[in-house]
Parts: sequence; C-alpha cells; structure tokens
Amino acid sequence: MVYKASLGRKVFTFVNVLFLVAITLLGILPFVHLLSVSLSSNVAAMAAEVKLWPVGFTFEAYHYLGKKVEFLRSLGVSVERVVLGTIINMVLTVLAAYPLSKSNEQFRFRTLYVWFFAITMFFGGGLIPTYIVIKETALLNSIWALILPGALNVWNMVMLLNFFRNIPKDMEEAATIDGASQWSILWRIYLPVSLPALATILLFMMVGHWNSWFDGILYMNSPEKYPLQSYLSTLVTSINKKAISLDDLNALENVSEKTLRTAQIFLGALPIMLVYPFLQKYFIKGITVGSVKE
Amino acid sequence: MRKKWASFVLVIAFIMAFSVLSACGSNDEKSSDQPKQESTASADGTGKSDETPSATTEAADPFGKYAETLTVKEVLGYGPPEDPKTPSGLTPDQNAYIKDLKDKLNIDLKYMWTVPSDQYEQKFSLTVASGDLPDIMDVDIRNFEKFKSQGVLADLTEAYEKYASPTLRKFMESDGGQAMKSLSQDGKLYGIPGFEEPFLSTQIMWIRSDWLKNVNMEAPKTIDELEKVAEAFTSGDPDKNGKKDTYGLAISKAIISWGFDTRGLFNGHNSYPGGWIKGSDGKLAAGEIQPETKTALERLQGWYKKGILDKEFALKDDNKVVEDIVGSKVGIVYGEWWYSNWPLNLNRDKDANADWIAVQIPGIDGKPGKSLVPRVRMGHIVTVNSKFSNPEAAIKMINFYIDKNSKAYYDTNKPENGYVYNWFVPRIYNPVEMETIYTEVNKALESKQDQVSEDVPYFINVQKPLDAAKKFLAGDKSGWGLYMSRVSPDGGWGVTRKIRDNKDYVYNEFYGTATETMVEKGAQLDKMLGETFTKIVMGAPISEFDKFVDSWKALGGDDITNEVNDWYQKNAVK
Repeated sequence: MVYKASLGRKVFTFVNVLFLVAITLLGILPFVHLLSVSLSSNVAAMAAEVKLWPVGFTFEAYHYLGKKVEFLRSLGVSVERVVLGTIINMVLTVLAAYPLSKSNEQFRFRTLYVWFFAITMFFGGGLIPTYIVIKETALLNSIWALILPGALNVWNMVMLLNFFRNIPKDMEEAATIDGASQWSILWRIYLPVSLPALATILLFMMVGHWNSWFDGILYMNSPEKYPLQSYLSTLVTSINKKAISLDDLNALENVSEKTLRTAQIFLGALPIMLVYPFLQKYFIKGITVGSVKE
Repeated sequence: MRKKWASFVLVIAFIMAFSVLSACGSNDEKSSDQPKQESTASADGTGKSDETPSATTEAADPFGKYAETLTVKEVLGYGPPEDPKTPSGLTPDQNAYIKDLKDKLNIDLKYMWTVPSDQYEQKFSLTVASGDLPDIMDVDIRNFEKFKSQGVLADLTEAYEKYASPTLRKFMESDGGQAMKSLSQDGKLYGIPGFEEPFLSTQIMWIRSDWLKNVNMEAPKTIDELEKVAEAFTSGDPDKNGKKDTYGLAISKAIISWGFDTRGLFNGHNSYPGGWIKGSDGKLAAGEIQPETKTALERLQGWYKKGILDKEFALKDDNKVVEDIVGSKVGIVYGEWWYSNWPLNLNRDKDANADWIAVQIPGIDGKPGKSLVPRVRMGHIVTVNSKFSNPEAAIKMINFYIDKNSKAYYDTNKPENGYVYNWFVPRIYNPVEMETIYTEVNKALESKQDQVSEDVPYFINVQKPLDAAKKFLAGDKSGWGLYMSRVSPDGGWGVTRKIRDNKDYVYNEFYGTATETMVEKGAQLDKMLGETFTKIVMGAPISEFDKFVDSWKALGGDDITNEVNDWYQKNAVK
C-alpha cells in the first residue's frame, strides 16, 4: 500500500525512531563500554580513558581468565543451577497453574487454594528464620538450597494462571467431548497455545536463577560452590568503613586488575543475553485467534 | 459433597506430607550431626586428659604439638587471593598454612563456612542467631562487647600467660599493655587485641610536585596558600597541555570516610568532625557542630564555586576519584601515609612526568594544621568460645602464624606455594610494624646491607620495602610506591612520624564502643551530616549549618554527648 505520508506522520516517525534508538543505546552502551574496558590495558582502564573503544588493545584479561579455575567452576555451578532450577520451576508452575485456572464449579475451594499460594507473596519468614529452615532441613551447602526455596514462584504462577483463564472454554469442552483426559487437555491444548506466556516466564526463571547471588553467599559454605554471580560479587567488593586497616590496605594495593574484573563481569552477563534472541520467535500473539468460531 | 471432602483430605495430606518431610530433614540433620559432635567431643576429651599432665610438665611450650588431633571450628570472611601468583583454583581449605598447622601443632582447622568479607557480618549474625558459634572467633569491638556481656567468651588469662610466644608478648607490650587491659574485666582477659599504632590514621596531604614546578609555586603551608596553589592547578594549566582539563583538590562524595575525603581540610581549620575533642571546660564535645566546622564549610563552598573542587564530586565514589588521580586530572588529595603505593603509583605508571610529595596538612593562622588521631586503633579481637575445651589453641595458632612469617620461612612461605595469608585466622600483627619497617630499612640502607635484621617479625613485610628502596635508589622507578610510603624521610610515613614526634596532632578523646544512642541514632545523624555538608559545599546558604547543629542536638546528639562524657569520666586515661 502506497500512500503519501503527511507531515505530522513524518515528524512522528522521526521522533519515534530517535526515541527508540536512544533507549536502545541506553541499554547497549554500558555493555560496549564494559567490553572495551576488558580489552584495554590496565593503566588506561584505571585512568578512565576508555570510553567506547579499547585503549591499548589486548586480549590479556581473557587469556588469563581462560586459565582461572574459580571462574570456570562457578560458571559450571551457575549452569547447573539454571538448568535444574528452570526445569523444576517450570514443571511446578504449570502443574499448579492449570488446576487453579479452572472454575470454582470444576475445582472446589479453588479460591482458597489461590489464597494459600498468594499469601506467600506478601508474607515471608524473614532472613534468619529462612536460614534456620534451610539449615535444619540439611540443605545448607548443597545446590538444592538455591533451587528448592524458590521452586514455585507464585508471581509467575499467577501470570500463567491468568493466561490459562483467557483461553476459550470451548476448546477444553471440545476436547472433553472427544474424550481427552485432563492431562491431555493440558499437554495437547493448553501448553501449545500458551507458548508466548511460557516463553516469558521461562525467561524470567532463567534470568532470575542466573542473576541471583545473595542466596549463594548465604547458603553456600565454601567458595567452590558459589554460582557465578556470587563469585563475581567477591571481585567488586568495596571498602565501606570509616578507617582502613593495614590488612585492608594490602587488599587495596594488590587489588585485582580492573580489566580482569570487567572481563569476568562481561562474560558473566553474556550467556543470558544470548538466550533472548532464541526465545524471540515465541513472543507471538494471537495464537488462539481462529481456533474458535463464535 | 464427596468432592468437597476429597479436597479437604488433600489439603490435610499436603500439610502432613510437609511436616513429615521437614521432620525427616531435621532428624537427618541431627543424626548426621551427632556423631560429628561426639567425635570432636571425644577428641577434645582425650586432648584434655593429655593436656592436664602435660600442662604441668611442658607448660610453657608455645609451639607444643597436641598428642591427639584437635579440631578447631572457625569461620572466615575472605577476599580472593591478592597475589596473582597464587595457584589457580585454590580454596581456603587447601591453604598451605592450614596444612602446616596440622603438621606442626596437630590442630585440624575446619572452616564452618567462608564468605566474601563484604557479607561476613550478615552471615556471622545468622550463624550466631542459629546458635552455632565457632570455637575461635575474630570479632570486631561491637561483637566483642556483646559476647562478653552474654558470657560466651572464654577467659584467656591463663592461656596467654602460659603459651604466648616471646614475639607475641612483645607485640602486646608495645603500647604498655593498654590494649590488653581494655579487653580485661575483673582480672580476666577475654580477647587478644589486633591493634595498630594510632598514628597510621594521621591526615597528611599529597600534592603533585611536577605541577608545582610548572606553576612556579611552593608546597602550601597554610590554607590560604593552598587555595592559591589549587587555583593555579585549576586554571593555570599545570600539566602544560594547553587545555583546561584539571582541577585542584580531589574529594569524593563521602565527606568523612577512610580516604579521598575532607577530614584533612577540616582538621586544617581546627575542626574535627567525627571526633570528640576536649573543650576548655574539660568536657568532650563533638567536632562536627563546632563553629570551626562552619568556617571550613564556607571555604569549601567558595572552592566549589571557583571550580577548585570537581563540580560532580557529589556523584563520585572513591573509585571515580582514583580514576581522576590516575588520569592526571587532579593534583592535591588529603589522606594517609599509604597513598603512594596505591593509587599514586598508578598515576606515575600512566604519566611519566607525574611526581607526588607528602606534606603536613596546611592550617590557618600561619601555622600547619593538626590532624585528628585516635587514641586507640583496634580493628579486631581474637576471642574463644567459652564452650571450647582448649582455649590455649588460639594462642598457639597466633604464635604459629607469627612464626611462619619469620625469616626462617622466607623462602618457602610464598603465594605460589599455596600460602594465602588472608585465608588464615587468627592473625595478630606487629602493632608498630610501620615504625619497624622505617627504622630497619633505613638502618640497612645506611650500612649498605642487602638484608634487614634476621629477627624482625614479619620479615617479608620489612624486606620487601628494602628491596624496593634499593631498586628505586638505583634508578628503577617501579620501587617508588613502597619507598615513598614506608622508607623515605619525606614520604608518607616519614612525614607522619615527624608530626608524631613534634606532637602536632589532636587526640580523639573518645575510644569506647558505640554508646546506646550512637547505635540507635548514629547512622541517621551521619546521614544528616553528609547531606547537609554536601548541600552547603554545593552552594546552599551557610545558615543551613546552624539548622543542622540544632537538629543534630535534638535528634540524639545531646544524648550522645552526655553518654560520651559519662564514659570519659569513668574510663579515660587523662
């Protein structure tokens, strides 16, 4: 369709593109900066001379990193955590959301159950009681301490539940008439039409597991069990006190090189960024359009 | 109806399943824990029965080996190994110190957990809250007071008397036993203090001497002179690159902090924020609310207007200030003796012309300024759990660590052999180490020796500056940082000790633990101070200061002043 754009439209398009480009840059530039610092010489990095292009280009930081066992070990823990955690999260979320998306006639006390879950969104035991629970259930220092406490994220479940509720009832009824059990309705009807929602919460889960660092520090007793982000947090510590002791001073004088730190932070963010393009194709809307004739 | 019941049953089943599960969990935990406890208990038991007879026979062997392996539980707040030569992938449990400890003393050191030092405090309080105290603990003063009042600390008097090595005794006596006395109560010693010479905190000023030459000026002695130099550094193109890209004085957004802050400037105005100074009435008064502080703030405000301070200082943390220093953007910074070995040395790496000198802080009335110095500098305290059967193990471990750092192990105790010093607890250092380094190295330089005296404790810490000094004096500029901070009479420590010997300082008279109101309101008051001072420097009317003083007093400052004075009446050495 060819039509002559009005002036107002042209202006709008121009401003809109400009605005979106600015927003994109806001997201990308920090990573470009990080990458160029990690590829620069340490002196240039320390003097803040590096902006968006490496100064004194060198691969040294990455070269050193390839031999650094701590980094690779933590990367392994993180991958394990993301895979295990996401699978468990996904299974539990789907299994909880499906029945709760039914009507009160189909599933008695549905509302009660929903509240049972929802209440955990607003009230928690607090840090110390949670720690004691983890300790008394012998989860301390095992990867399950990072996975089980958040095995079901109620927020994600409510999202999926609402998505399920918006799926036309007629599809379920048609399937029932054709003799499908609840399992096959879930598996063959609900899940295939919910791909956009599933992709979204999948992303939430993966990013959540990848990025969380505090639980690693709380529940893991030795650094070789730290996931990547907990390990990275040990590198960027800062001195936060009123006086500096000779010990602190030693740490300052020998502080790990800035380029090395940035290289690790960059590599730490990379895998999860790469996930986005692969999930992109599932973010399509209107998959249920046309499945039901009104 | 039936369906209703079914779902009820389901709910109940759920709840039961959960409780059964968790019960199992805790049972498992206990059953797996119990044998452990028993085994340590039995080891301890036998250790003790061995100990009693041996205590009489070989009572005073500070390095005596236990006949039965003694298990010691500790916790560790750690940083990554600081030396890049440390074997990759080493974990704290594999620290060579721990292996040697087992060989030499038959002590099996077990870390219950290790955590980045940033998170240490939180994790430690979690551990305390869940009732799981380690055997030997390195605690701060706050926790020390808390534990002492709860009665969970062991009496170390006897252990120290019997087992302290001569070097440890020398350390403890270096301040006349003051530090140890402050940890004793009713004749019982509850901890071994990790203290340092208080003059390490003395504020001095570092200034770019090559810039001074470029603008034809002398190092400033008074604040007025400092202002002129700083102005020249801002607009006189001190780096001769034809661009106006420099500024005078580096400060970070933290007005009062551990470095790159304004303490030195305030001190130069006879103002001592954060300190407690004896007034003419003999009572202690808080430095931040005195009229001198107002004068200093007015001065800073003027400097901000003139561009002597960075316009964006309120957004810069210490890292950003360091970037400016390394990047040759700024020529003056207040701080302590150690700056030359970090970050000033990085500036010299970057900029071949750069040269920094250390001077006493400029003052008003034509006299140099007097820095605030604490009476006591105690960073940590080694304590023992009163339930632990062998409190003397803590003393022996301290002996062990000191010994491991003597000349005898100079060739083997290296990071590349897996020795990571910050992964070993407890460590007690030489409280007067800086003075030892200064005198020993200068002595060796004078007599042209390649080695410092064999019997200095922490040999490597003394030998390294000597090597660096020799290198620097022979023309290799890489030794500058260590030489300038620790050895040169005109360097960081050199200037600091002159100030000390001339008694050109002011004591912070309060050195007790935080009082009740400090704990409750201190953070809030500090925040108010930071916000108000920053606002004033950036141009708010100076009358804001009077408002600040009023609210400071009303919001708990007066109570704190009373508490501090009560403490002063009771405890202070006068």
